[in-house]
Amino acid sequence: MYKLILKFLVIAAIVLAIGRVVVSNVISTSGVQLGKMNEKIAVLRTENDSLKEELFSKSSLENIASEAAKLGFTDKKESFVLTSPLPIAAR
Amino acid sequence: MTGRFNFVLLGILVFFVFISIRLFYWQVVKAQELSDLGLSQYGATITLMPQRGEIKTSDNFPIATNKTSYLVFANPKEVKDKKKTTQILGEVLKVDRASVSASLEKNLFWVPIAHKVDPKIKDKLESLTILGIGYEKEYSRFYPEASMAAQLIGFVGKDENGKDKGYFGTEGFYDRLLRGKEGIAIQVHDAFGKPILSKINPRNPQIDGSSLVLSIQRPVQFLVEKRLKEGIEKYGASSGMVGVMDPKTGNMLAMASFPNFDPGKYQDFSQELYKNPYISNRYEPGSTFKPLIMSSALDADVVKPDTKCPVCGAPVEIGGFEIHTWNNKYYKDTNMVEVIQHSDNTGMVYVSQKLGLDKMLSYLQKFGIGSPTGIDLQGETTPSLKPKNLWYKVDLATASFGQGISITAIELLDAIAAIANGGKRMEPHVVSAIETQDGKTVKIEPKVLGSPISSKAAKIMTEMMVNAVNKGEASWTRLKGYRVAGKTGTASIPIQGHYDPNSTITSFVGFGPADDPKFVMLVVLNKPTVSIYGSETAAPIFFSIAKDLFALYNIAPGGE
Repeated sequence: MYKLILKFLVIAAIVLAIGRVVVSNVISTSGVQLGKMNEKIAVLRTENDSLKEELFSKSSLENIASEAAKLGFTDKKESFVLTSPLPIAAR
Repeated sequence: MTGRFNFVLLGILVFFVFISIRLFYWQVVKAQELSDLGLSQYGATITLMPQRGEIKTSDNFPIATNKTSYLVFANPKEVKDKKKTTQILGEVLKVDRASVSASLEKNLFWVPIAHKVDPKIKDKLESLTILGIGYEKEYSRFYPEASMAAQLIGFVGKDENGKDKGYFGTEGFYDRLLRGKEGIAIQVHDAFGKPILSKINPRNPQIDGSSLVLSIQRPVQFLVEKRLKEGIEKYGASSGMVGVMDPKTGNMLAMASFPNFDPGKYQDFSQELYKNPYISNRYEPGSTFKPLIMSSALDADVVKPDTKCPVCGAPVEIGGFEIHTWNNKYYKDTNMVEVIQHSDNTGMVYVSQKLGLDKMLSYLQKFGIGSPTGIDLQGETTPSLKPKNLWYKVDLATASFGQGISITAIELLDAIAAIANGGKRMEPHVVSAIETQDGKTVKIEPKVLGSPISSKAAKIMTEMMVNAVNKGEASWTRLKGYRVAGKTGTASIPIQGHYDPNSTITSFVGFGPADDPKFVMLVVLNKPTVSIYGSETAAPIFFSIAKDLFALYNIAPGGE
């Protein structure tokens, strides 16, 4: 009985040791990957900020008005209103 | 033998007690000091700067936001050719070479060279691969609409410690909310002082600032600024301002003044332009003040629309002064509707005498004249009303037509808005909601400040103002088909104890549509040269903006 338990413990120790080596080996490179991902996030954030800045500049009314003027749009002089005719019964 | 054992035992005990006391001293009493000493050897405490909150217009467009910029720093111990590095940094960053040189000569591991450096310039500098130069991301303020609503927004400058701080307008008023809270972290470095990990152990992480959503409507602000600019040029005025408000809520829809400045380049402009004249500059309102006095008299039931003015046939003499009408035309037995229509000063003197000083002061206070409106902008100044014992008879008379009394434009706009809102005065404000960093939106509800006049008096006054628009001096420029209530103003400018004979402040205040007002607006022009009258300068600007607003809000003409 004691021998069986001893054998089991030895095997378990060996399996766990191998398992630890394997897991360590697998995750040892993920630190580098994590670093790269962080770098990528930083680059994308900066890019996003710069695109946002460009978007806001281009969608400002000042910019839209000057672009519209370049394309030949002008202020409307007069506006008119379309009114719906009264129903026949009310005439 | 036993004595020897006891002696040794005692010796060991004393030794252990001594060790325990010493351990207590180092580990408890001196713990913090030693911890700080250790920290200073392997790292340094650094401040984590929060990102400033955005300011958005009602359409959620960020009129003030942040853009990426960089802090350029140097490690003087790593810089090999200091002369060449100084030259390059001076040229690329456009900074003073002497200060760069002085920084590089310091016996330190880290010295800042320039803040808020544009990413393109940073890229250019980085491509030169200068040894000992590093970069750290930071944020700088960016105003996509440039100078739009500049005096309302304010700007971000530096405080006495060199940290970002908002000045004037919303940037100043809501600075604490916008700036957020700084964080603290420890930067670990090696024996040579080089940072080995970027930021570890954030003891207190930074909290970014909250964002503000304004009630300002971007298209309205744009239109108002455009029309005001055109008007100032057309009428040769030295400056001008316009405020547009929703009378039912007190929400400011637009607030513009010229000349103005670019908040992103505020250093390039005169400091005089930083303050918002709409809330900071006092002026004598002239005839635009008449609706307040007349509506007070109507509310107090001392006059009625058909009350005849018995003193209006000629100039009125009070306390040795003779009071004339603006055009020296006199209408005998004119009624109160015509007094407003003709902007009759003698008629207003009669009204003020019927009202009396006590009641007039009481009504003016209820209209908010002489006290801050409470608008959420930095820099509101309010001239107080004179104490009652300093009012002479002639002061009562001149105040009735808006001379001899100083107010700010926002005070008058808010008071007239009370007439437009059925007698209920609202607190003016520009921020309608606050967005916190945890995703909550706190709405700012409209606040009623009081009811200076009854809804009946407000309705009668509105009709008088509609009549003044349709039949008064400014009728030539009115919008046909729309019921707009309004009043012109032409005020003399006091200089060194008398009035300037050559220049005036012209204005027009009104609201529309009169029966269900969507906006109340006050236009003020300073010293127009083409004409000195409000009906020929401020009124056309008012109606050109009103026309745009009716189109923008899809309000069709509905008869006059």
